[in-house]
Amino acid sequence: MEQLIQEAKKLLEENKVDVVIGYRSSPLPPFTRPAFIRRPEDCEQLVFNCGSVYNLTRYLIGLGEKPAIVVKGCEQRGLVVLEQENMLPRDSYLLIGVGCSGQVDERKLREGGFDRLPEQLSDELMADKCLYCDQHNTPDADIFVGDEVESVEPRTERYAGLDEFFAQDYEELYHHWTEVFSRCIRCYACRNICPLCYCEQCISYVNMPQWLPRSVADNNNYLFHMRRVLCMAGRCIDCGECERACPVDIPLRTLYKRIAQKIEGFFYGYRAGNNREQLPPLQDFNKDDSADFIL
Amino acid sequence: MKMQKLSEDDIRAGLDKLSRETVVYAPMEQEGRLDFRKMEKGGEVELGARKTIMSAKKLFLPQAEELFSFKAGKHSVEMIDPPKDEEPLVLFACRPCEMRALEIMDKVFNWDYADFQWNERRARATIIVFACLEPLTETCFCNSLGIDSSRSDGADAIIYTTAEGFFARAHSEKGKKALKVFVGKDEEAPEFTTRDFPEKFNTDLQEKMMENFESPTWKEIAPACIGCGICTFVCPTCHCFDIQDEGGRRVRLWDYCTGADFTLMLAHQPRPTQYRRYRQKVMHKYSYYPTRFGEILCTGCGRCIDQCPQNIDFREVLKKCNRLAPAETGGEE
Amino acid sequence: MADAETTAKTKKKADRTGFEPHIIGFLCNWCTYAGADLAGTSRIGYPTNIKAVRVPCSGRVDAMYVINALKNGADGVLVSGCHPGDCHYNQGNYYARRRFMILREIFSAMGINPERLQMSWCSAAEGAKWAQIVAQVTEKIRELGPFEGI
Ligand code: SF4
Ligand code: SF4
Ligand code: SF4
Ligand code: FES
Repeated sequence: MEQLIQEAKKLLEENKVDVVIGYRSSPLPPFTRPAFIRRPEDCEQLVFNCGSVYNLTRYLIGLGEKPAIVVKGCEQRGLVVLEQENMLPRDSYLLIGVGCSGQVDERKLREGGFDRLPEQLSDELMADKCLYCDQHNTPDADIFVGDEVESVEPRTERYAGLDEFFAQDYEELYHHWTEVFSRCIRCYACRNICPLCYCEQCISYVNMPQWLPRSVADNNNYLFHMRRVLCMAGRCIDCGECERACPVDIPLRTLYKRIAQKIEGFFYGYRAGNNREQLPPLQDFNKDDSADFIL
Repeated sequence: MKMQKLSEDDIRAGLDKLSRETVVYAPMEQEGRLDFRKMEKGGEVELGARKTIMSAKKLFLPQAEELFSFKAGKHSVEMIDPPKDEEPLVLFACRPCEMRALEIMDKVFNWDYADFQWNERRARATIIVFACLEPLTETCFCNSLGIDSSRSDGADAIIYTTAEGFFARAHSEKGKKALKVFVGKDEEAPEFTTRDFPEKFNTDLQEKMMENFESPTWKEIAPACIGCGICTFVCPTCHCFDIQDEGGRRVRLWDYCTGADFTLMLAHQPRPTQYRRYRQKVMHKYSYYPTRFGEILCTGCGRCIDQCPQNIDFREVLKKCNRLAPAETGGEE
Repeated sequence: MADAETTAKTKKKADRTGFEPHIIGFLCNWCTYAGADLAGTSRIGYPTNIKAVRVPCSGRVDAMYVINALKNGADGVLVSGCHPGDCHYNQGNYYARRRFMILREIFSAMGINPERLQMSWCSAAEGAKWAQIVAQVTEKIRELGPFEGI
């Protein structure tokens, strides 16, 4: 990643940006860490590899400095949504694009007992989102470093297994989700890590009236997560960070993806962040939207 | 010294018996996640060298706990005490760092006010510690803080794992009673010592941190922190709580100083940026607490390192804090 | 530890015989609310299971209102606004339509029967239609039985 280092150095030396947000290596899995580099001489620390799992775009809002940021293809979609929501103008950061052929799944890495990153990432160790990735190279990059990755055939389907899973009847589903969410510890890492959860006053802070009771109990947790599914509807870019962060392995994206799948069907193939011109479904309407559930 | 020598089978049989007599919490796995869980029949307790996700703190300071509930009548308010749980409890196979954390927290829970829920639970519990002669994981750093994990004097009993089996020794009457369920003969036990970690941390940071409260270096200590609650929730010593009313119940809930809603007031957040919140976390542990109670609020269990989604290594943070230097110009912006 | 784990499924398990559903109606001030009034003044009878909440526009109904109604004991919710094209604020009902379309999907994904959330268009002149909607919704919810979730 010599080119990344050189470009970052140049940006800092020429004072084009105040900080370069990227990845540096770490002795612990996934063997990188987020890096905030402000001095040209520190640019040597920068790396990009299959352990660069973090979605760094969540650091952009409220940063207060002009950044250059390393962004993978899938994550760039989040920037598009932020732009559509008027949260982050495109000219407030410099986008360093990379080619990414897949990231490790930290859990699989840990379970496999690896003590370093594998040279060649096998599908077994790869994050599931990477198996159906259709955007390996960051579009819209201001500076592209390294080689472009040739697109590979997806190995799984984006919405694989969802129809079967959600074919269960309501009672079973309700039982399943209350059970799963009963182990949630309400650490809010899923919310805080999400590039699109930027509300300064999350509804879960509000306690007069208290919309979402805070004590951990199955139904309270269920309610919090229902609210989060609602927040992510039509906005989730499927970067997978929430699931990666969750200390108790809650399969949050099963719900987020299900709603995304439905939205894709309802609203003319909409997929969050794919197209700047197509507004997020809840910011928009169409007179011809399906109305068959209305009495 | 003579100790009770036990085989794995002895321990499992004893636990089985114990769990029929009283409530036993022990590390047990569920779908790959190891945590302290209530022993039910047939539950497989983890006896090996593995760390639980959450610490044993949750048994003494539950994540959500009802303080009282209330019912409003026309001219009166009726206050109702929460249902009391008075069963004795055995906490089995927590680690010396967690025991140490309980002793550290005893101080704050008996400082200006004796917290009866905490004290009552502490009194009710018999704690059997598994000593660590080797670090459990590569993120453990108790030894680097000067903690000897081969002993746990505050525990009711301690168990050592060796290649030939387990050696158990009671420290208290409660411990003696609990160990009675385990058969096994007294045998001469070897001398137990922990492996020394090469790295030692200077934890005497109180003054340095206070003097450099406004140092710009704080911004570089953990810039990747996203302000979630993981590290504080898994920590065996973090004990900050929030009190909320939830439909007629007043509950005490774990709270987390790294979060943006901690200390949030109606119109003002005195710690408006993330580095200030992180500074609070570090300073509470290594400055305010030792100043008041003479002990740091950290036992080096490494759970915060294990679970941090952004891979922030608290050891690195500590090292950086050792290098804190005064601001070159002015104070905070 | 009991506190942390309580309240989950301790809600009333009402028996279904003689079950009268509680339905919360969020009615747009400019149309349905007036329509309901008209039904009243024209002495058109309809089930009393519905409790009306007047809102300035169906677009004002936050999804949290619906969820909270269910959480606090309602068995069903009806959101009713102006016909497409007639919204006092031009587009409120179009936004509402999308919002509740998605909320219904969330309900079904999380195991709540989406039929517990109903939506209708009903103008100020449609007193009779209002009576018919309420009868229809009440029947649907009655069939579903008491809501025992959240
Ligand atoms: S909800 Fe999860 S997968 Fe979706 S954008 Fe947020 S962090 Fe990424
Ligand atoms: S990260 Fe996991 S445990 Fe934490 S609040 Fe989200 S779902 Fe719950
Ligand atoms: S777990 Fe990590 S990201 Fe979360 S608050 Fe702690 S240090 Fe910050
Ligand atoms: S004013 Fe009636 S729906 Fe908008």
